[in-house]
Amino acid sequence: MDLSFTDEDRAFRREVRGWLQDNIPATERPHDFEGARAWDMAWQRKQFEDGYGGIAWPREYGGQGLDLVRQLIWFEEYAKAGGPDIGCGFVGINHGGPTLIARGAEAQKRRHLPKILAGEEVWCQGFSEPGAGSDLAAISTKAVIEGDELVVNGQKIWTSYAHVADFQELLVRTDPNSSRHRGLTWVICDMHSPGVTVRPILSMDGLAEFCEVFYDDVRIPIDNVVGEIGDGWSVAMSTLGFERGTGFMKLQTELSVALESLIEDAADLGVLDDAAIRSELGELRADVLAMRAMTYATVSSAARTDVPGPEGSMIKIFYADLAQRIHRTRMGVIGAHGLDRGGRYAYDIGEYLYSYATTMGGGTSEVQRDIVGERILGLPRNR
Amino acid sequence: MDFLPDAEQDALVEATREYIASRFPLIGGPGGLDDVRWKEITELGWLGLATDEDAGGAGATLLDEVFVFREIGRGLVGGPVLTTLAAGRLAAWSGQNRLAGELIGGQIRVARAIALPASNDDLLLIDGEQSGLTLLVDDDRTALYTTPRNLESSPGLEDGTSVVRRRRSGLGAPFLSVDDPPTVRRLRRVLSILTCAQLAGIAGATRDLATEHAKNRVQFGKPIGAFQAIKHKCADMATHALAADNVTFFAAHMETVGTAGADYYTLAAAAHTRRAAFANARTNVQIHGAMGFTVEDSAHRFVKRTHTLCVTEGFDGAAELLGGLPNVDTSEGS
Repeated sequence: MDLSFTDEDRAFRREVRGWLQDNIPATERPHDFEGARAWDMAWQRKQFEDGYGGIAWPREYGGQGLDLVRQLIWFEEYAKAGGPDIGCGFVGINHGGPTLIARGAEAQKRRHLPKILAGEEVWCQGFSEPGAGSDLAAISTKAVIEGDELVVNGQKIWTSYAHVADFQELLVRTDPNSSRHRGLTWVICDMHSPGVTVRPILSMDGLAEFCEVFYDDVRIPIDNVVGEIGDGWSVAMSTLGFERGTGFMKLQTELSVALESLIEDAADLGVLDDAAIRSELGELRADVLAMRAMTYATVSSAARTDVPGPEGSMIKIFYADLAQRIHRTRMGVIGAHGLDRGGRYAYDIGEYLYSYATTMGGGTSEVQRDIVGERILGLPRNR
Repeated sequence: MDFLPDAEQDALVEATREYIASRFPLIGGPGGLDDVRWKEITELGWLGLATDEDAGGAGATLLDEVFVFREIGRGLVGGPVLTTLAAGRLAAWSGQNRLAGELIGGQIRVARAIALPASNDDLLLIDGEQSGLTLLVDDDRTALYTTPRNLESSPGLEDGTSVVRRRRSGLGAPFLSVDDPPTVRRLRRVLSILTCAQLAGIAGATRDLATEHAKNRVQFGKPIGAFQAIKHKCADMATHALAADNVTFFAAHMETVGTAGADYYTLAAAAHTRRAAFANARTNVQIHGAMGFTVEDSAHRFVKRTHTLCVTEGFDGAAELLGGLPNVDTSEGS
């Protein structure tokens, strides 16, 4: 067991720290979606042009070809420097791109990966449906094969940034006689295709990133299928594996930054003299460190085996609960300031409201507990 | 960077677990540590793994000791193992190599004295029988005393153990006393981190016992572990145990490399493992149902041991102390 970073790693840390200090955008992210997209993509392009796009992605597709430790260092420094949320780049960088790297055909990789890194393509996810949430295998959006095309009809939901996206990782049922995990196909859908309709949904934090997407005879070239026709479930699971595994590298540092700013607020507001508050903050600090230690173990495990381990579900459960506790505690610390959405804690109130999504997004904590119970502990299924 | 146990550490864990399973059954085993087993653990080197070789130790690292103490927690090995180890370490740091050698060799066992609440003068002695010396660790000073004789004991929280009340003034002059603050804090960290390791071991053992029971106990025609009410409790136990392991490894690693902020990391591990062990020990009782409430099952022993460990090392106050510390940059690594 060894937690030491090499001299080269440390030099890399100093280098990215300096670059981030000089380059993190000073402008405010626009509130309209087209403006926000342009702002997010400009920042992504800047990272790419200066050699920090896709730290652990293969060099032949525009990445830096560095190891996961460098990726970890990048995320830690990024969060500490207060780097902006990845915004509408999230799915391309964290889901779609890694899935193409793992499962895509050569032509698909060459076409999309460099553009995702260069901030030229926005991706969105198309897994959940009104009737297929936690029970993802209940997907009913269907695709019929006609010649060299798939013809898609149905509906997806909870699709973040669908209204500004260029492409979608779309999970459809290609075998009408199939059920559950069989007969699904993972396909790249061009969001500008005729027959795609997008409706934004306002969420409790006041944002409208979520969308419903409707498909009416949408034609998708069969060459856009990732993996085999009918093998979409296994492709989708590899996508979720990335989200639940090494995706926590950045989130855990963000939690640490959020907690330390909360402790500063508590000191400013004079509540740190209260032993009960100190105790609550201390428990949160302990859990943030545990989260960091578990992330290091996951990164080490991924570096040894190349595959995110099942412990990703435990880290997700832990992270989601901890994020909610930190934001709830902040609302307690700021007291009546928390009722003023236009005041100095406006950002924190937004983060608090958003935190209700952490135990749902990417798979509810309840489903994660089923996964841990059944796949890690070997408890029997009850379905 | 590779934050997973290496092959040697895996082998150490396996050998230790095998030995404990064969000699310390969870039900019907020895209450404390009899002379035969005390000799065995001494020969295994448990009392001085990370103590300098000059002083009779094995020169391994605190992290290696963590792997052993996690098994001690898992198997609920009793007796003055940690206190004797700590006394040996203190003797070695003080240049008293002969005393260190005797402690590491198991010739002298060491009891622990802890202060009772609301009175700085009233002490409780744990593992007092058969202990030649007694360790007392205050905030700014630590000392070894000759264990008083003719002790009137009272039953301890853990079945088969006993405790003794004693006045501080009745301990007499210390046999060895250290009031150098960095050394006192360092000793507290060793005691804390190896206690965290035991709590992590408890979190892991109770996860395994509860899961096993949930697979075998049938109600409503199914193993109870098929029901989410039980399955999700087991999943949370697994999460707690994973977190407890890793935060302990992190603190032990930082102590081993001697980084600044070692007190912060140790307090974080203490606060976290305390909560993880209590949560899992309680849930383990609940999942075992009425059986878990009896002494015929081992579940009660994990609850009692968790209290003993947390009170002895003052873990109940760890979170409050941690919340009041200045931030340390936890992402630098070493």
